[in-house]
Amino acid sequence: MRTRISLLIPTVALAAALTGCGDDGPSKAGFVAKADAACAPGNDAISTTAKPTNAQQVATAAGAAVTTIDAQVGTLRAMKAPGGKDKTQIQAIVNAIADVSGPTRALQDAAGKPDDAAMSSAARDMQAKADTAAGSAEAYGMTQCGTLLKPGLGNMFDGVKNVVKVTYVGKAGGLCRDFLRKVNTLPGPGSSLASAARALDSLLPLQVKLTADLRALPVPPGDEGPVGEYLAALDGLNTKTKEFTAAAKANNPRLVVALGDEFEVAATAVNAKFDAYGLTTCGTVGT
Amino acid sequence: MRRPVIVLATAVALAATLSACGGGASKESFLTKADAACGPGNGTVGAVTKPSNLPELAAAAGTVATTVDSQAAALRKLDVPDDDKAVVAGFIAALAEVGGPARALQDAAGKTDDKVTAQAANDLKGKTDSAASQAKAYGLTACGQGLGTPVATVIDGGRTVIKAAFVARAENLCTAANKKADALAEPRSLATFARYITSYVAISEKLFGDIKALAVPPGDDTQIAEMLVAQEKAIAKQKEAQTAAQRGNDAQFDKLVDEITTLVTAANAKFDAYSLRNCGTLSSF
Repeated sequence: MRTRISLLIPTVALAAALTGCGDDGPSKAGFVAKADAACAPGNDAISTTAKPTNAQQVATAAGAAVTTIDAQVGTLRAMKAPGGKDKTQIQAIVNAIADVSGPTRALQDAAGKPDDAAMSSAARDMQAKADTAAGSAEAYGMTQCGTLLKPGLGNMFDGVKNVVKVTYVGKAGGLCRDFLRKVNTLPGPGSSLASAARALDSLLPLQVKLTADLRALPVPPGDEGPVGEYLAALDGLNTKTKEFTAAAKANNPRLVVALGDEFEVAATAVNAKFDAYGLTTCGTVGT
Repeated sequence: MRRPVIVLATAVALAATLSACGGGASKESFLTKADAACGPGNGTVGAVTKPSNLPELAAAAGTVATTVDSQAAALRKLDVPDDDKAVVAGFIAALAEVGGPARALQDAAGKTDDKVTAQAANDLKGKTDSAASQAKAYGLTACGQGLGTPVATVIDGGRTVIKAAFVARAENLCTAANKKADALAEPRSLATFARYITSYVAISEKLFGDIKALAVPPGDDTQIAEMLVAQEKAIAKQKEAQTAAQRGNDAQFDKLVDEITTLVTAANAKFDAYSLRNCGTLSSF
């Protein structure tokens, strides 16, 4: 019996050592491996979905993504997680992944209508939530869950941007053509400062209205920078037009010449920014 | 006698434990002494105001050179942790290397050589960044890192000074070229346009070649390169229009004119943004 007892003692000690810290569930490494394995097929499905090229495709892709995200969240919630601090962290990660679902569903709804403004807003929210989920998942060491959801949805985000931009460019082009038609009916600047001032008085409200109408269009998600820049350049041109008009009304030819140069420079900036955004009708082609 | 033996044994064991981690100063002590040694020099360069002309730039660069020389000399005298000798030597060498371009900047600015001044300023930034990153990686806070902001101020002053010269020279070149282009006879047909564009492109290519040869303000390399690339695209399209005009291809020519307008507008906007309006919107190019 002596041999049996000596074998039994190390076994009991080993078991005690393994359970010495209490039953805290799986190790962090074990959980991360299982969770990533569970998330991988869903991430693959989202990332291999073709980039949508119209609103209907956006709706379909967003709907599929919602189903995938919800399934990932369900699986993760059903898995046994490590205890203690890890448990709280994991809950936060899973909640962050679950939060991506809401705006993605909103994107599906908006694309189904289709509502460009709602699509843009939902796409921005979706990307922001995916960023948050990726940040917390990466920090915990996950390489699939949350982490690879972001580039997968990035493809769809790009698709939404392209779809909304097509409509945006069409509508903006229409506004610019309408603006140019009206400008062409205005009387010419004539040969005196007074007649130039009258012509500018008629032009300025049209420019201001065009700026406001362009500003009211739903901005393609991710294009806030270039759109904001050309709108700011338009604001600058409107300001310069006001100064130019005031100088003409004040019968100040020297100031009119100086402001004329500045007006031209401001117009170049506007045209270059319109062109760079694909709005050549509003930019050099229109002028 | 039992107690002294125990005390002795404990002391020996403690000494052995301490020396097992390497000899020389501790890292913490070295970092404190090193940062303290670098503090006065950082104060000196930190007091340098942004230079607004080349003599001021030369003086400021001279201050940077003498400061890093003395900081490197002071650091070489410190007792370094044995295990970190290579790392510390590497950092001190990186810090000392800042002196070279700082002195080159001092010399070039003193000679009012814009091109060498710009090159030395770029080198100075590179060496300062390298010293700062090595210092940060080792845990130093004053040494190396403390040079970053003052050196950036000096370089920014250099950029402003060289940019003023660049803009003045480029604007003069553009004004002269605008006069030449404006003197060309206006084309009234496709055939005369072909002849016109030959002379026009020759003026344009000479102008932008001359601008390309100017000393580029440090830090503005990308902006100027983008500007010149945009202009090259416009010139290339003008050459295509020249070919279309020579072939009498009206449709192709009209299409190219629209494209040229877009490209010229893009180039002009970039020149305007760099305060070169006589090379941009107000130019003939």
